[in-house]
Amino acid sequence: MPSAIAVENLVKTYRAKESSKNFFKGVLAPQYTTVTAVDNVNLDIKQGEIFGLLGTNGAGKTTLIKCLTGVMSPDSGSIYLNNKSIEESRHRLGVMFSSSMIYNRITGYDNLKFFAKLYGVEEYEKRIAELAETFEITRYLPRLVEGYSLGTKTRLAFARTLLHDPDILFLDEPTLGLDPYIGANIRKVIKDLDKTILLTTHYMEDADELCDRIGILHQGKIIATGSPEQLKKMVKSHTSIVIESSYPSPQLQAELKKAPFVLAFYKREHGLKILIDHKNDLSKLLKILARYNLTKIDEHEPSLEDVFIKLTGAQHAD
Amino acid sequence: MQIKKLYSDSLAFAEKDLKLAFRYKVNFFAQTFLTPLTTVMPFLLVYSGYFLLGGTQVENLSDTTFVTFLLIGTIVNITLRLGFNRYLNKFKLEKYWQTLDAISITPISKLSLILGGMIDGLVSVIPGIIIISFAAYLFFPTSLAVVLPFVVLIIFALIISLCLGLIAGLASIFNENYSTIFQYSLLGIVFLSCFFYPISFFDNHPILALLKTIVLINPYYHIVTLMRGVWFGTGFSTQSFIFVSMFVVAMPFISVALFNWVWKRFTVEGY
Ligand SMILES: Nc1ncnc2c1ncn2[C@@H]1O[C@H](COP(=O)(O)OP(=O)(O)OP(=O)(O)O)[C@@H](O)[C@H]1O
Ligand SMILES: [Mg+2]
Repeated sequence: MPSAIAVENLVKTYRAKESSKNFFKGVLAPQYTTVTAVDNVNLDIKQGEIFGLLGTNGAGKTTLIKCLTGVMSPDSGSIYLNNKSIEESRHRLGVMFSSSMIYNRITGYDNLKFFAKLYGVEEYEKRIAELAETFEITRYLPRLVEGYSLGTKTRLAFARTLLHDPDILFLDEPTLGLDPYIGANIRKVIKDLDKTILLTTHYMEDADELCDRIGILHQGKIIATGSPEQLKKMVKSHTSIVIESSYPSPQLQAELKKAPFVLAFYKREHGLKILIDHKNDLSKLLKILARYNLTKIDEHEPSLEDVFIKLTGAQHAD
Repeated sequence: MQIKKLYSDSLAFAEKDLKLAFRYKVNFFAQTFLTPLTTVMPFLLVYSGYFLLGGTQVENLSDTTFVTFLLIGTIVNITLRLGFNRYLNKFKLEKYWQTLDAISITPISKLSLILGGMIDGLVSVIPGIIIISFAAYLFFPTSLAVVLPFVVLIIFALIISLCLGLIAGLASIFNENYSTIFQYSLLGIVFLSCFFYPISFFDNHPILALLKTIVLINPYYHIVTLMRGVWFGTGFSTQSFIFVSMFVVAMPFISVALFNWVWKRFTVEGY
C-alpha cells in the first residue's frame, strides 16, 4: 500500500511568554520559554487507513495536525501527502478542528457555500443538500450559526470538511462533547467514508471502534503505534480494577503510588481506575483497599484505555 | 481557468464579507461614513467662518470652490479608510474565530482577498460617494464627463488602500501592537494627502517644505488632485496618472508576496 501521509523528524516548538511576579519586570523585560509541542515525530499512514492519535491534554495532537495541514509551518522535518507537498495537495485535504473554523454571524448555508466556492466545488447546491441530508442538518442551514447547539455546529463543521470530497481527512476531536446520537452519526460517517483519515480523540471507545491503527502521542513524541488489538496485547497480562468511592482519599493515592505492583492509576468520575501488573497481585491490592471506605470494586478486561494509562503513566489523580 | 477561479473566489469573499458586515449595520455605516464626515467637519467650519467674515481667498480656494474641494477630499478619505481598516479589523476577528486558519489552507490565490475586498469595498462606499458627489455638484456644478475618471480613480485609491490594509492587517495578527501603530499611521497618510488643504500650504515653512517632498510621492495626493482637476476643469496631469497606475499594478503583487512570506515564517500568537 502506498503511503498517504509520510512524516519524517517533525519538530515544532512554541515560544511561550511567561509573566513575572513583578508586573513591571514582566512588561518591560518579558521572559520566554520554549515549549516543544511536537518532538521528532515520524509517521507513515497508508492510503485508506484510519489512524487515531491518542494523547493526554497538551500532548501535541492539535499542533501536529496544524503542521500537517499547513496551518502552521514546522520548525523542521518533512511532510508528504500522497507523495506531494502540502502546497500541492491543498485542494485534496479536508481539515476539521472540532466545531471551529465556521463563521457564527452568517447562516450555515452561507458557510458551506463560501467554502465550496473556495474549494472550487461545481454544483455546490447539490453537494450541500446531499451533505445536509447525511448529517441531518437541513432544517438548520437557513439559520445563523450563532444559534446552533454544539452538536449542530460540529456536524456543520464536518459537512464543510467534506464539501470537496477530499482524499485525506484530518479530524481533530470530531466527537468532542457530542451526545450519543450525534456521536454515533459522526462515527458512522467516518467509518463509511473509505478515505485516508487521521483523527484525534479522547474517547477510547471511538478509537477502538474506528481506527485501523493507533499512535500514542506523549509529550510530543509518538511512543507506540499499532492496531487496537496489537496494543491491547501489551496489557493482556495486566488487570485493571475500577473502584468507586465518594471521595478518593489522598492517603490511598499516596499508597498506590508507592505500591510496586501498581503500574498506573487515574481518577475517574466516581473513583479511581488502577492498573496492576498481574492478577496475582490482586490480593495485595485488595488488602490496601480494604482499609478505605469504598462503595464498589470491579475487575475489568484490559482495554485500550489501560494501554493508554500504562504508556503515558497518566497519574492525573494528583 | 486560473482567472475564472480568481474571479469566483473574489466574489465569494465579497459576498461573505458583506453578509458579515451587515450583521451589525450601524457599526458598518459609522465606520465607513460617519468617521470621514467628522474629520471634514472642522475644516468646513473653519473655512466657512473665514469666508463669512469677509475673507476672499485661501491659497487658491475661493468661497465658491472650497466646499466641493473638501467634499472631493472626503470621498478619497472614505475610500482610503475603508480599504485600510478593512483587514485590520477583519483579520483580528477572524483570528479569534479561527476562520483565518480555515482560509489559509484553502487552495486560493491571496490576490482574491484583495479583489474580493475591492468588490465589497465598492459596494459599501458607492452609496456614500454618490450622496457626497451630489452635494459637491450643488456647490460647484460640473459636466457629467467626470463620472468615468472618478470611478477609475476611486477604484485606484481603493486598490492601494486595500494593499496597505492587507499588510497592516497581517502584521496585526502576528503582533497586535502593530494594529495600533498602523491605525495612527493612517492619520499621517491623511495629513500628507492634502484632502483638506491645498498643497501650497506646505510652502509656508521650511519644515513643511520638507514634508512636501513626501506629499509628492504619496499616491493619494495625486489621486485627489487628479479628481479635483477634472471636476474644476483645471487640467489632468498624465504624469500623475501614470505614477498612480504604477502603484495600482505593483502593490497587489507586493502585498500578496509579503503575505505569503510572513504566513509561512511566523506562528500566529495570542488567541
Ligand atoms: N500558541 C501557543 N503558545 C505556546 N504554547 C503552546 C501554544 N499552543 C500550544 N502550546 C503548547 O503546546 C503543547 C501541545 O499543545 P496542543 O494544543 O497541540 O495539545 P493537544 O494534544 O491538542 O491537547 P488537547 O488534547 O488538550 O487538545 C502544549 O503543551 C501547549 O501548552
Ligand atoms: Mg487539541
